[in-house]
Amino acid sequence: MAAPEILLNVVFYVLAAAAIGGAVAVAASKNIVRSAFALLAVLFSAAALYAVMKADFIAAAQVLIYVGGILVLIIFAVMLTHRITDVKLSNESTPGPAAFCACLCLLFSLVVVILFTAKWPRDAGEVRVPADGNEVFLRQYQADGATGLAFGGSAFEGSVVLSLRLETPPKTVDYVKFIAVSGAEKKTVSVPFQKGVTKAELHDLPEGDWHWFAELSVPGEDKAVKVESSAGRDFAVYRGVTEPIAMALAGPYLFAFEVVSVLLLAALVGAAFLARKEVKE
Amino acid sequence: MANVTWPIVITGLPLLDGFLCIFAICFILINFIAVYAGVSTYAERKIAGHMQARVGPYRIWWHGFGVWIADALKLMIKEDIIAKDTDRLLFKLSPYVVFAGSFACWVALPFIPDWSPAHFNIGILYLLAVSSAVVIGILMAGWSSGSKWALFGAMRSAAQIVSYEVPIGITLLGMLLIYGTLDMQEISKAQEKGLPFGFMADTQGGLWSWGLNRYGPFTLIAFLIYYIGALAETNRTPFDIPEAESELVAGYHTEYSGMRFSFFFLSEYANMFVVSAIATTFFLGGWLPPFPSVHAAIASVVGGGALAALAYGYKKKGFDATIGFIVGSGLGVLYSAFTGPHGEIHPYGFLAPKDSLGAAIEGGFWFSSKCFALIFVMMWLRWTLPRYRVDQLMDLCWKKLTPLAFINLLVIGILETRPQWWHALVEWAKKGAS
Amino acid sequence: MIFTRHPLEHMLLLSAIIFCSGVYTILTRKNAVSILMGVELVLNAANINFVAFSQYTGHGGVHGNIFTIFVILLAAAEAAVALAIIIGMYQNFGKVDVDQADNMKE
Repeated sequence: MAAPEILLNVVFYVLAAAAIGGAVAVAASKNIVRSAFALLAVLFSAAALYAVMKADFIAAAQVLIYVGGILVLIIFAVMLTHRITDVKLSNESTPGPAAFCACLCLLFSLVVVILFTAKWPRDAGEVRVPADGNEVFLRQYQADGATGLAFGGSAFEGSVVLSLRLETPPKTVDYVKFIAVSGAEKKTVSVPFQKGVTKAELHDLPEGDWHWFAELSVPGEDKAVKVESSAGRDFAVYRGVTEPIAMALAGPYLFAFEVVSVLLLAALVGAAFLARKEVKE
Repeated sequence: MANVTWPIVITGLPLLDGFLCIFAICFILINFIAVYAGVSTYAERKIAGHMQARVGPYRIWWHGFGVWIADALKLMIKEDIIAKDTDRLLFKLSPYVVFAGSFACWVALPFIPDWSPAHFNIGILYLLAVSSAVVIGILMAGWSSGSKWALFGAMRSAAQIVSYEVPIGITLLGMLLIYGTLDMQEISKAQEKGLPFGFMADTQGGLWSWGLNRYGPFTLIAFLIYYIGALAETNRTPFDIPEAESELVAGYHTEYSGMRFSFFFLSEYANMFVVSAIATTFFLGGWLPPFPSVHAAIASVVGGGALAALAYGYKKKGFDATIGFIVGSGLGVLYSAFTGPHGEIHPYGFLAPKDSLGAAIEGGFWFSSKCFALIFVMMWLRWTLPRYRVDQLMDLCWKKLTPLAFINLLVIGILETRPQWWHALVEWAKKGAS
Repeated sequence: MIFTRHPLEHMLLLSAIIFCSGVYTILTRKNAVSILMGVELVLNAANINFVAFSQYTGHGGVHGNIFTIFVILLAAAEAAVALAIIIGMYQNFGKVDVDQADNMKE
């Protein structure tokens, strides 16, 4: 693995350790204020993990709403529901073995499901395109070359891997030229043909909708065989996840967005009413 | 980090180079913050002195300039007192949490054209988000001090900061409707062209293209609401109930002494710079100069001088001459926008070509000058206005600034999405006049 | 760069551990605010899952991210109302112990 991948792995494991440490401290601390500040560590680590997964808008929203809103509310509630004189607030718990065993069983079952039974689909599936009497299978991947990118999907970074597979090549194919087009932009990569899967990486693609096709050049023939999937957008490149979220919130999720706004208004009014100080006559 | 080439290649190993680059940039930034905060304390005391008809610090070095170094040394060698009733871990941790919240904002500011220490495409959202760490740190400090004055101060301060984030967010939202992007560098670049109300969108209008002139009085109101909210965010007068000596001793940092207290102090000044920097980027053009070309600079000086002389001749006072100069230079820039050379003169600065070191230095100079001007106004207000009571403060935020900010957002939204109404209005007015 | 060494499973394991810590907090704590903190842990674990599936596989599209945004918003609303109820409880009972808020029991 190259250095950036090592660094990203190290960052992931450090953040995971911080999140788990914080979660265990929330569950087991005897001081409720320490619990609340351990929750701060969990929320920040979760935000950093979203950033590692390239969901930058969600990371910022998490810190803004969870840390800046909910955690401040929780700390205020902790401070308002105790007398001021006890600094080391006790946080009693009933640590029965039943609860602990129940949680361990839950964790065990989740681990079994995650690691052993579930087959998480990675590949985006191939598109079969007829070319010159044979069938070519086209596939596209995200930047690492192994995580699939569905046709019509989005890449959150400017690097994409395109691949082509011929079942039985009819004649000897020399080179495969992968060409990606988006409006006025065009990127081309030429790769020598390999039996099985031929892959090429495209770097530094600017944002936009991209359509790609491959040209197989056969020695002895002038015209290259062009292989193209269905017309239209094959994938779109976005920097970060802000624009897809915005388009989805203004598109299919518009009604849900408005309903959540009304619900937040109701929560605001309800909370202000519930927490009012009764004026005793 | 994948396809990034580090600007400075020291060892050749990309991992180590990355760490060294990040460390070097953060080292430079922290030193800049420390020196800026120190000189800022000296400047505050000097400005306070001169505004109160006295000299302020005078004895150490030239006109008291060494006072901030002396203060810093004193804070560093003071005894570290931790009271008995405190929660020691949180007590020691909270200055660093508050400083981390402020410093994390500094790395995303657009100091120079086309480069930030950390360039996010969610720039302003990141800045608003990590300022929340400051609130948590303040609560941590107030609670772990073990004294009820500290706790009251911390809760009031946290409530004030969290309340004033609402009008700040709404005004920035209105400006984001105009710019269409969250990226701070793009926002600075978007203020290069265009005269108010969307007319002559290709003209380099200098200070008339800035954010606060975009839609006439409405963006100016947005700027004022933002600035008032920023004063409250940084606990400056007139919103310094949590730190006022006559009210709560010193609020959430009562029990802190020596180096720990200096971290809180540092964070307050760092926060002042951050909110000024956000105001500069959104409303005052970021690193753009107030005049986009040499022609505009000459016109602004000539216009300013003429109007200053007129005002002085009429009123015989220096203050009126200054106001005359400011108005005149603005009119000079506007005149140059209509009559001067158009097109790509120098896209970013009016002295140095794009992408050069000169453009970076010039951009950094304009950005810092605007930030320091806003900080000077903050210091000026501190010695001018009396303090708000805490209920008056909350009343101002929720009953006056927030509805005003919402109405402003609505109007800016209408102006931004329906420019044809305004152009039709102008056409109708022209037809009516002719 | 996205991982190449099965990181999706590791992210899901992490969220499973946080989820179980949250469930343990809800089950064992007596202080109402602590129970609310456990609920926040559970919601965060679910959010990490949603975003991981949306970003790591080619099928998700943006729907996982949208769901996460909505969960964050609804968690804010729910925390506000829950804390208002807890403050009301403190004003009426003098303490926020859930074991002792049993006025409606016979």
